[in-house]
Amino acid sequence: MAVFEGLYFNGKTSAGLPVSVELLPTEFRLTTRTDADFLRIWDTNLIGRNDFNDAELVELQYAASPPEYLEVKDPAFFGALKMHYPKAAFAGSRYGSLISGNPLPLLSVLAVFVLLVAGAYFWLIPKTAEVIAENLPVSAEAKLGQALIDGMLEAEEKDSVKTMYAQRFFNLLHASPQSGKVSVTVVKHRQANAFAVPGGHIVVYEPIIHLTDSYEEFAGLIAHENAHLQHRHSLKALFRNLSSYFLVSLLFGDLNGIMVVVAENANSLKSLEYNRELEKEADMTGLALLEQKHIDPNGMVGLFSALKDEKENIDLPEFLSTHPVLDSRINYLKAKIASRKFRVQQNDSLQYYWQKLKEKSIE
Amino acid sequence: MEEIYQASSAAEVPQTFAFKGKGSELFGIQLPNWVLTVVTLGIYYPWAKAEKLKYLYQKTEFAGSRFKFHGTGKEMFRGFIKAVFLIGLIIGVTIALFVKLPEESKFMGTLFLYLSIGLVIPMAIFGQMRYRTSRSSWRGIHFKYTGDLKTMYTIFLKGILLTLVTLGLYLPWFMVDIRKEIMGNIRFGNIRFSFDGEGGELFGIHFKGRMLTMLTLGIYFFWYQSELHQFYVNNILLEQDGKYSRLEANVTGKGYLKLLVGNVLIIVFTLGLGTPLATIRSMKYVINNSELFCNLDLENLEQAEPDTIGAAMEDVSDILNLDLV
Repeated sequence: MAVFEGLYFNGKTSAGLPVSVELLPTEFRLTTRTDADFLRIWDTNLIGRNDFNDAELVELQYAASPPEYLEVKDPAFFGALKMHYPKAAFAGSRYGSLISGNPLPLLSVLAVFVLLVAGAYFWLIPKTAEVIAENLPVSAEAKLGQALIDGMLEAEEKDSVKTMYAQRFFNLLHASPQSGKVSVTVVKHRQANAFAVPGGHIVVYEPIIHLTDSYEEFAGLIAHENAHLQHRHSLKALFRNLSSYFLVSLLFGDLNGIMVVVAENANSLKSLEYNRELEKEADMTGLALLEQKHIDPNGMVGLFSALKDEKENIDLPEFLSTHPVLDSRINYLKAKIASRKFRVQQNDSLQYYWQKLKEKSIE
Repeated sequence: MEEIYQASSAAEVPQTFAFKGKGSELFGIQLPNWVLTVVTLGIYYPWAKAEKLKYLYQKTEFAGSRFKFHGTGKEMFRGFIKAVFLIGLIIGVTIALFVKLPEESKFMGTLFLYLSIGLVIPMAIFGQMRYRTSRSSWRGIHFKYTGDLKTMYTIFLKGILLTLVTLGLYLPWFMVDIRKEIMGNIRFGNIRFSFDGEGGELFGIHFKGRMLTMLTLGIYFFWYQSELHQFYVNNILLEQDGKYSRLEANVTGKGYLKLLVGNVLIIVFTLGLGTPLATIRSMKYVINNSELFCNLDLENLEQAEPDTIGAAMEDVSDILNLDLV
């Protein structure tokens, strides 16, 4: 069998001993010209795996105590190892087909990777976030929500009179004993907005009340936000943002931004854009509530039309005003309303509270 | 630190470093590892990291021989679990403090976060140095880290206090103290490393670098980075039997500009998939531009007794993004 020249290191000093390496079926035979007594037999089973050797230099590690090393710079050695020991871990590379220069295996692994990442991003992460959000104990959600809302309202000016009326409006609209306690807060603000915070909080920015032309429209708004709470949508969106970030940072090996995202999310909840499915779910659940309370369901349609028309005159958060799906939401709501028989009954109490809400604030 | 004795065996000869890695190879190695990392929801990460390190070490040549990384995914996995647990605990307690505490004492949460990070960083540096050095070898001789945790904590305590008191001005001296502690405790056979830079010089580099970067609308940044690089590398000395050798980095601002702009373009236009290519470019640039003005007897390095050191803090340092080695 073939013989090659190399350097032998005994693991005790860095002095390289020039040796001849004879490749035998189950062993390497290492001898040297300078010392006739020197003979090392390397059992091929004890030679460590090929850690990315190349033809220019092959370095092998032998599991003795201390470990010994062999360096061979003969370009033919790399090929000879593969030829004589085709199955050995020290000869081949587990990445062989991927670094051979043939693009096909590489491209197929790349395709698998891209599919996996896409699958994780578009399916697995939303799904997992949903499961976590759905199974989070109510007490934990309440605590998280309380911390979030405290932080959010800290800098805001609460309108306590309107908050009282809005809370009564809500209680009348949603007088069902099994639903948890929901607190509605009206805040003085430049922007027209309303959002749901985990743990049963609805925040209404005052200008959006003036956008509504009837109590039915305001009922539509409140029913929609309440549906977000019922379905724990904001919790889901929060977890989804977090876990998407987790995936991205995992791929690029940067895990230290997680805290930043936690902090950012607490504040960005008010401009959180739920995806279309979640919005539709909230619209439909809200509509069902209106139906149950015999409130004209066209109120919800009117609300979206008002949001669409008013964007020039009033300061709306971007996600509300540029919402590309407002038209489609109006359409599916109209279709749903047309498909069912709604029994509508004037509700004087709601009318009263809505009028109170529309009045100019008493400072 | 010029050599005054006549070297017995070898005169001072520059020994060059060479990096032999290829972007296509590293890509082929990292890609299946990424797949496994995603499939296992991140658990495979330590194994993926071990493979990358093995490749990068194996392709780094000094005086005709390659370096070798002996760490394994299994070792680093243990460290990874501890790291995830530790960081998770810190984040968990911080969040709990924020939720539980009344409004007026919320600062306790922030205080806890900073304090625990401050306690973890010296431990992470120490753990990573010990692990990485013990798992790195060249011609069969392993590196060794002889520092102790207490000294590291002392340096951090002093450094953080003085940095706070001086409103940040002391930071360069603090960084140099850490560097001196780390380098001064690296052993390779009977070779001892040390770091000879001074805080004042580092302060000057930062001051000039930031001023000129602002004045040139960012262009000077690359020259600033190359000066920093030279400061950290050219001040490393190697001593063997009273004879000193010196590392030298031949990086330039122009070189840094080409490297960094190229890397950003590669990463952005491949949506991150080209990261291995950027890694190889950086390694090539840094390694190929390093030289050792050598007075060392590389033939007679002796192995210190092997020790068993776990990878406990390896990944804490990774999560905290402390790129040290």
